[in-house]
Amino acid sequence: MSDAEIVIVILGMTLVTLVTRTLLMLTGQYWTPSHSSLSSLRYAPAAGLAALIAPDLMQAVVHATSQSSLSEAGQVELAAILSCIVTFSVSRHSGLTLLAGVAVYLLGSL
Amino acid sequence: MEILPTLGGVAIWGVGTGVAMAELMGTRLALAMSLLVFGGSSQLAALPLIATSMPIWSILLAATLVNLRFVIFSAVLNMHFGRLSLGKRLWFGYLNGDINFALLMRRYPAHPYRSRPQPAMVAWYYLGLSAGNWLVWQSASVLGIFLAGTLPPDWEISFIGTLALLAITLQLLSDRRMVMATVAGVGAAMLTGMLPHRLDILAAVIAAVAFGKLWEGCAARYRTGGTS
Repeated sequence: MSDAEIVIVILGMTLVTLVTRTLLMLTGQYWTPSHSSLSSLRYAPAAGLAALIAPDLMQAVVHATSQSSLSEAGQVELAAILSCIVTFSVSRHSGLTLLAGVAVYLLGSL
Repeated sequence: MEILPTLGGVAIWGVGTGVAMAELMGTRLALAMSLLVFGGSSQLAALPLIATSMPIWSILLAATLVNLRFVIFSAVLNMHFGRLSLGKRLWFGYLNGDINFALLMRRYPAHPYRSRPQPAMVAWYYLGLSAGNWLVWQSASVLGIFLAGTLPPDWEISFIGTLALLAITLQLLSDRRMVMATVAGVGAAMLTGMLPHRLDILAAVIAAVAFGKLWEGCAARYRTGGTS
């Protein structure tokens, strides 16, 4: 893809981002959706993020349990994922959780 | 202050995205993409399509689909900020991201019939979160863009980005109901995983919201049944 085409993609994506993120604010009327529809929206962000990373997590499990050359890398990834989960359930601290996962991953990859 | 540990995750995710962009399109275009588009998930979805020279319309379609969850979020933002001027609404909406939205929902759950928080308080809280999120994301992304090519090739920075998102997601799982709704969402994502353009993310969001709504409906019925 040429640089000019990438520029078009970037500008287009900027517009798309702005429109999707502001869409229901654009009319600017103060409308109040029903109580139940709004309060359930608090479940949205966690599920969105979890779905975003789910394929990577699944791939780590598949690689780790396979008999292929990828199995060692997969095991390191799986160990890092598990150390994140364990650290979080003990500490409830996302910074420590990340540190634990990254430490296990980098040490395991050496 | 609850955003501070989360921002560590945002930073690592940003570095990973910066490296990936710069390796594909060079420093200048990567900087432009980071500063203009400002959307980690849609940027990462677009990169492989750009790399394989897919038609421009299909890349924009993919970016739109990946972003559809923000349309849902904008309904909540409109409840808080719908009375502001158009310029402010555009700015507030542009900053609308997964992290700051999740923390806003945690601090100010959208219960229109309960005590309504002061709009100015909500606006400052949201702007504070969003400015922190934007600054950390952009500095990390720019750092990644300039780091690209200097990192050892066997470092899988993208997997560290995944770990960062995992840490953020775990932090959002504040109660059992949230865990169950998220599990339902991931289940829906796996069932729809064959759909193109990461539509599975939208499926996850819809399934989690529907599950949470059903659960709350059942819990409310149980409570009223118990007291009558």
